[in-house]
Amino acid sequence: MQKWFLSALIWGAVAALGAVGFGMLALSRGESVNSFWLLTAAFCTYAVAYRFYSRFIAKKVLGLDDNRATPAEVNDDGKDFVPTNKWVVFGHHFAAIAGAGPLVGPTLAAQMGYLPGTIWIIVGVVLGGAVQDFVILFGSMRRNGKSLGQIAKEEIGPFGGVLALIGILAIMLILIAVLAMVVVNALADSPWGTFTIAMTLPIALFMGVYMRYIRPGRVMEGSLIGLVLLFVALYLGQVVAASPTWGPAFTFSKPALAWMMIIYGFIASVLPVWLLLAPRDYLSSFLKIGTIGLLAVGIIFTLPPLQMPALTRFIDGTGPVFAGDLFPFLFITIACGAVSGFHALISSGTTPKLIAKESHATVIGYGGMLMESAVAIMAMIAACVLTPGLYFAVNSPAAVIGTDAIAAAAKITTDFGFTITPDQITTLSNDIGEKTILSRTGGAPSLAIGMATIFADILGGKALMAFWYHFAILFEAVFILTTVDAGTRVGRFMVQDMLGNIHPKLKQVDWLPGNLIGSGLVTLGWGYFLLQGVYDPLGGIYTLWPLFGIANQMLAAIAFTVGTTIIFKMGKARYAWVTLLPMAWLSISTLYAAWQKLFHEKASISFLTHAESFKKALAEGKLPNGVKSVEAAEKMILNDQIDAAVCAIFIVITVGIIADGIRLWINILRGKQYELHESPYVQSKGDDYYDPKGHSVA
Amino acid sequence: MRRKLRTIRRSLRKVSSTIKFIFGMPDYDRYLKHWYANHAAPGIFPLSEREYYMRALHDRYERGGMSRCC
Repeated sequence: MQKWFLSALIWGAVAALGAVGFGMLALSRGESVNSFWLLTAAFCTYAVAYRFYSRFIAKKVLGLDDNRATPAEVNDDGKDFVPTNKWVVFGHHFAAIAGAGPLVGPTLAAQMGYLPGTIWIIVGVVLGGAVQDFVILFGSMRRNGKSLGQIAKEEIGPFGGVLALIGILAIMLILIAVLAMVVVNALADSPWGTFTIAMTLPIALFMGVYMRYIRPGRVMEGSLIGLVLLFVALYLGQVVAASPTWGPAFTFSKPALAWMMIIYGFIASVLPVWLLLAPRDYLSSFLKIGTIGLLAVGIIFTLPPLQMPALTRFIDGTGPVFAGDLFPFLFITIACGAVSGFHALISSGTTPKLIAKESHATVIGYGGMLMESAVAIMAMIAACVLTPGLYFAVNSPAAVIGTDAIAAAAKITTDFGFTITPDQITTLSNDIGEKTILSRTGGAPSLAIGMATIFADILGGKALMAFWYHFAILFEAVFILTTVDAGTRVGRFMVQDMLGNIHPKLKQVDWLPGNLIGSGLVTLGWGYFLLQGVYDPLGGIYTLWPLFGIANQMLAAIAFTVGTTIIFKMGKARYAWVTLLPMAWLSISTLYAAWQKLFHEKASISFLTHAESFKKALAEGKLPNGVKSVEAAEKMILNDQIDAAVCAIFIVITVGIIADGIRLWINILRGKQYELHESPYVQSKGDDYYDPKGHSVA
Repeated sequence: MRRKLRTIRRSLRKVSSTIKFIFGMPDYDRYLKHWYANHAAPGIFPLSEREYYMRALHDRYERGGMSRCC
């Protein structure tokens, strides 16, 4: 009784503190709020949700059972299936799901103010994202670690399975293109950044040779040497940028960088993994976790005030960073960090094969996603550390604010209503060692400036600001490039698998012609979207990010459909609201956003209206705003039509799978029996079998 | 002193082994331990460190599967 009382007291206090945090965020007007309140609101909500909601799902909905042996225990082969300490699996899972997504999305969403994005990140993860990761992890764990596509095929049907497969390939291509776009925008006209990133190639090649021939298998040594060389390259970058001969040699335009990315992606997909892909992966893993940790420490130590207001006038959908109203576009702009469909692929990948006991899935699936959400919250803080004037100077396309500091400052001050002087723009540019900060769209530069501000506050002050900025750019670019090459490779396997239906030999991943055809098709796929973005006068991100958001949230809607079907089939229909609720919200907002992208009357939102307005201008013999030639305008019309087609495909796939799922659910409610494709029940050998301290089984 | 050094080395090895596991890096020590516990028999030998490294890379990157997220 006493214990119960104490627990109620503590959790009541945590909940109250969280409510105070939200109150401070929502009610403060006119003065800047400290990021402490943002962190308080987030972490208290996470704690309460983890303690109560995740436990409810584990016990009542899914019925986790520690007496049931996990795939890791049944198949323990010391290679793929390894029963492992839950915190180590947690780390493994988090390292796999953390990427650029939770950093970029909140940065872009900050154009509406910090409040809408923050609420969506916190509420979205607790009721949506974490539930999705948890349920899919559970589903895969009960099915011997099967992938989302396979589960969809078995539980919903072959039709749903094929749709899910096409959807997964499409989202991969858009994801790679949009992330490559982020890197291109961050490196354009920046010799320091370009040199540092270019140096990661020879460094990775050296590491590859080192770990294969010089000291075979010594990955830690190799990675350590690589990291040291990386910092040397970062330092040399400054020297190179300042040099009158080398500086221009490493200054590239966006189209040039885009072509380099495309060629790099193709080569990385063809080359053996030991040479380039694996060493890069190691570098990026260390850099990623290290920097996220550093950012957490930085924010907690400095607790910076948020310069951005709670809401800006751009909630009306006229913002320069992305187009569209708060509903539905906020909910597709922030995907990773709130709900990310992509996580369903990770949760049904390696993680379920490592879980030692079913109950561990709670902290790994639900808890891992809460941690990712915390990263998104930190990105939101870093974006709002900038004054709104500077934020819009960095994130608005050149077609909106121009390329001149004086004109841009005037435009932002008078049109947007955020005071900024040309002087502030040039000072910040000098501080971070770049020629200009204007129109560095894509989120990476503004996040890097925010991070540099926080880090410089702790160490080095203004003197080290440029170093910190390029460190942040390096960190983002390195792990985005790892996603580009690994994603191209995974896409290649999927394409080869599909082509294998035409000619069986194409299925063999080590057959060179198959390799070249597969790699070529995938690179062509994302390369097309990347080039389209590069030539877009609005900077690419403005157009491509919503497409990516729609694709990602569509995948989440598919994952929830799979999860709901599993819950229905388990005879837990009365708890199906756990996945139905987020599924309904996501499919409504995603389909509505996709619909607007097709048919909205504003050319800034709809691809088709945009194409129509261009056609009209051309017919009248005029050139549309910001377009240089008739050919360019015609090409943009074609791009619009292709984007619209992709959008339409996403709508068809989402509606198709959901309809297939609903048909099944109705049949189940009517009393029809369906087989649940779980692996057979095997009694766990219990605690003796698995050593909770180590991660190997004696 | 020597014993202290040995303890430090052992815990360092454990830390490095955990890091390798988290990032999905090949871990030869873990492989050997598993091999001797489960596959050892007269007349057969475990893979060399290089052979193991190449096989582990193949298993992680060349079999499809998604290893990272956006």
